[in-house]
Amino acid sequence: MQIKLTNIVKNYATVTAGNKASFAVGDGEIVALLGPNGAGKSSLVRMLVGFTFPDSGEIEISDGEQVTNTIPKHQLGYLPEDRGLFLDRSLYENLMYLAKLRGLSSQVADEKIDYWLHRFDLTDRAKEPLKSLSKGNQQKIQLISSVLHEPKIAILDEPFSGLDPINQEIVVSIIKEFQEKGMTVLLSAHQMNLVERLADRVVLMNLGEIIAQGSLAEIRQQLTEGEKLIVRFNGAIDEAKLAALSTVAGYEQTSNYEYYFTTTAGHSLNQVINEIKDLAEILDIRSEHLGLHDLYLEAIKKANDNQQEQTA
Amino acid sequence: MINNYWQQVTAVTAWEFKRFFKWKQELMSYGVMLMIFVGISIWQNHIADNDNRIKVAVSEEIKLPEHSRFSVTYFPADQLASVQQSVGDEQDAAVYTADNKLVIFVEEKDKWLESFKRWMSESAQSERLKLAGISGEDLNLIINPYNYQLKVKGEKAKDDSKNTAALLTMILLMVGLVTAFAYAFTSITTEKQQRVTEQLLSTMSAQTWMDGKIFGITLLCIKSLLTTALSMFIFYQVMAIVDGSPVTTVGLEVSYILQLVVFLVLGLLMWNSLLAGFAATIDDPNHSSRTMLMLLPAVPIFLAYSLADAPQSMTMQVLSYFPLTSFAAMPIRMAEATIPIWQILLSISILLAAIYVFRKAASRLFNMGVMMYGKEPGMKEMLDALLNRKFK
Repeated sequence: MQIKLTNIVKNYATVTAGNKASFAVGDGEIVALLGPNGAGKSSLVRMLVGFTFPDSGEIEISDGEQVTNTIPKHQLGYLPEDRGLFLDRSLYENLMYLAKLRGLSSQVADEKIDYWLHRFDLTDRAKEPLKSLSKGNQQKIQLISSVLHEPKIAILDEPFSGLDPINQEIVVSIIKEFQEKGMTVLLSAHQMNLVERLADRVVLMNLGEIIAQGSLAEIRQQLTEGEKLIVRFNGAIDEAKLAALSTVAGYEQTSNYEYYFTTTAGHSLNQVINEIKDLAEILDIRSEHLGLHDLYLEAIKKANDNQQEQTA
Repeated sequence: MINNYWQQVTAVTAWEFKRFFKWKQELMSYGVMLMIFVGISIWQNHIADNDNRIKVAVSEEIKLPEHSRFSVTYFPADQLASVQQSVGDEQDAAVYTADNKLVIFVEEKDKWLESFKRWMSESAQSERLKLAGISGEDLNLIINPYNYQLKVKGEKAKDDSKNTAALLTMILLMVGLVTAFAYAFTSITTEKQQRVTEQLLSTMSAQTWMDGKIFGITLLCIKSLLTTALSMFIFYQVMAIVDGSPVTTVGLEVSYILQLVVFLVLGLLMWNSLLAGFAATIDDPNHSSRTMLMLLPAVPIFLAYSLADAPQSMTMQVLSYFPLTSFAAMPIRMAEATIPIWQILLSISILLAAIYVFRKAASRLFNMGVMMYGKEPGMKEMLDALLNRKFK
C-alpha cells in the first residue's frame, strides 16, 4: 500500500502542525518521520489514521485499486505515541481483545499470540496482569498488539522507546521482516542510529514543515554543501595558498599538521586532492560522512536559523 | 479479516461486561447474602423461641387473657416478696400494682418487654370497652367514621401490586443509574486518562466503540439491579418464612411486567448514552465541574414519583413522552391509570429515537474529547462536534 500526502496544512490555535507538508511512502518501503518534539509528526500520523483532518491538502492511501483518504482500519497497524493498554488485565486478555477487534478468530489469534509472546520471551507471563510487567515489556505487548493481525501498513510512533539495546535489535529485525513480507512502514523515532540502519528514506520535519526528505545520501547532499575531508600533512603548510584554493570552501586546523576541509560543492574528490597535494606531502586523507544524527541536528539548526531570519 | 460492526460491538460489550463482572466474587457475595439471611432467620427464630418461654407472674388483682407468647401465672398479694425473689430463675417477670402504678419487675431489660406492655395495654383497653358495652367495631367506627375512596375520571382503582411494582421499578432504576454513573467514569474517562483509546480507535470507529460501551455498561446496570431485586426477593421470602406468613408471589400480568422491563432497559440505554457523552468530555473526574451533570438521571425519577398521585395531569402526560423522563413517568402512569396502548408505543418510539440521537452525539463528543489530553473541550468545541463539524 502507498501513502501520499500533498500540501497538508494543519493549524491549531497557537501551533502549526502542518505547513504544506508533502511526502510519500511507497509500497513495502520503510520511511522514518523525524523531527524535534512539536514538529508535527504525531499530527500527520493522526491524520493518516483518521483521528483528525487537515485544514487543506490531500491524503491518498492506495492499494493499487482503491484510493482512500485515511488508512482502512483493518489494514492498519498503529502504535500510538500515547501508549496505553488495560493494566489490570493479563497480557493474553489484552492481546486477545485487540485481535478480536481486528477481526481475527479466537483460534488464529491464539496462535499469533503464542508466536509473539514466545518471540519476546514473555510466554510464561501470559496470564499475569500487564501492570506487573516492566515498562519495556509493556512496550513489547503494545507493539505486538499493533501488528498481531499482519496489517498492510504499520505506523509506529517511537517503537524503540523504553526498550533496552537487545530488545531494540529484536524490534529492528522484526520491522525488517515486516518489510520482507511487503508491509509499508512509517515510523517515528529519536534513535538515529537505528533509523539509519532501518529506513529506506527519511522525512525531516520542523515546525510543521518538511525541511528535507530522501535516502540518507540524498539528504546528505541536500543539507551539506560539500565533502568533509580530514587531511594530515607531513609539515606546515602555507595558509595563504590554502585560502586561495578554488576547491576548498573552508578549513580548520585540528592539530599540528592536520586540517579539516569543507570542499566546494560541484568539485570531485580528485580535483580537491590535485589542488591540496601541492601544499605539502599528504600522509593521510579521510572523507567524513555526516551520520543521520549530525544531519538531523544540522537540518534543524538551519531551519531554525531561516525561521529567525524570516521573523527578523 | 472483515471488520464487522456487530462483531466489534459484541467484542467491546463482552469486554466491558467481563471487565467488571467477576463471577467468583458474584457467587461469593450471593453466598454471604444467603448466610446473612439464614443468620437473621435463625436469630429471629431464637428470639421467637425465647418469647414462647416468657413466664410472667401476675398479681391476682390484674386479669389478663390467654396469650401464646406469655405464660401467665397468678399470685396472691402477700407472696409478692417471694415472687420477686423468683424473677430471673423460675419467672421472667412479676407484674403487680403499687402506688396506682403497674409495676413490671424484671431482672434486666429485654426486647420482649415492648410487646408485653403493648399486650397489657390492649387487654386493659378491651376490658374497659367491654365494661362500657362498646365493641371493637363500634370503636373503629368512632375513630374512622367514613371509609373514603376517591375516584378520578380516567383513573382506575388502585392496584396495590402495580403500585408496588412501579415503586420497585423506580428503586431498581436508581440502582441501575448509580451503577451507570460509576461505570461511565471507570470505563470512559479513566480509559481516556490511561491513553488506551487511541490504540482502540485505530481498530474501529468511535461510534462502534461507544455503542459497545453503552451496551456493556447497560448490561452491568441490569446485572446490578437484578442482584438487588433478587436480594430484596430473598429477604422478603426469608422474613415471610420467619413470620409464618405466606410466601410472596408475583400477582401481575405478564404484559405489564414486560412493559416495565422495556421502559427500564430503554431508560438505562438512554441515560447511558447521555452519561457516556458527558464522560467523554471530562478529562479528570476529580477536578471537573461537569461531574455534577452525571447526577441528572436521578431528577426524572424523583419528578415522576412526586407526581404519582396525578397520573393524568398535563405535567405527568408530558413527562411520560419526554424522552429524558418517560422511562420513569410512563411506568408510574401505567400503575395508576389505564393508558391506551398507542400512548405507550408512542412513548417507546420517542425513547428509541432519543437513544439513537444520544449515542450519535456521545460518539461525536468522544471523537473530539479523545484528542484533548489534559484539557476539557469548551462549549463551542462541543457544539462543533455535535454538529459534526470537522474537529480541529
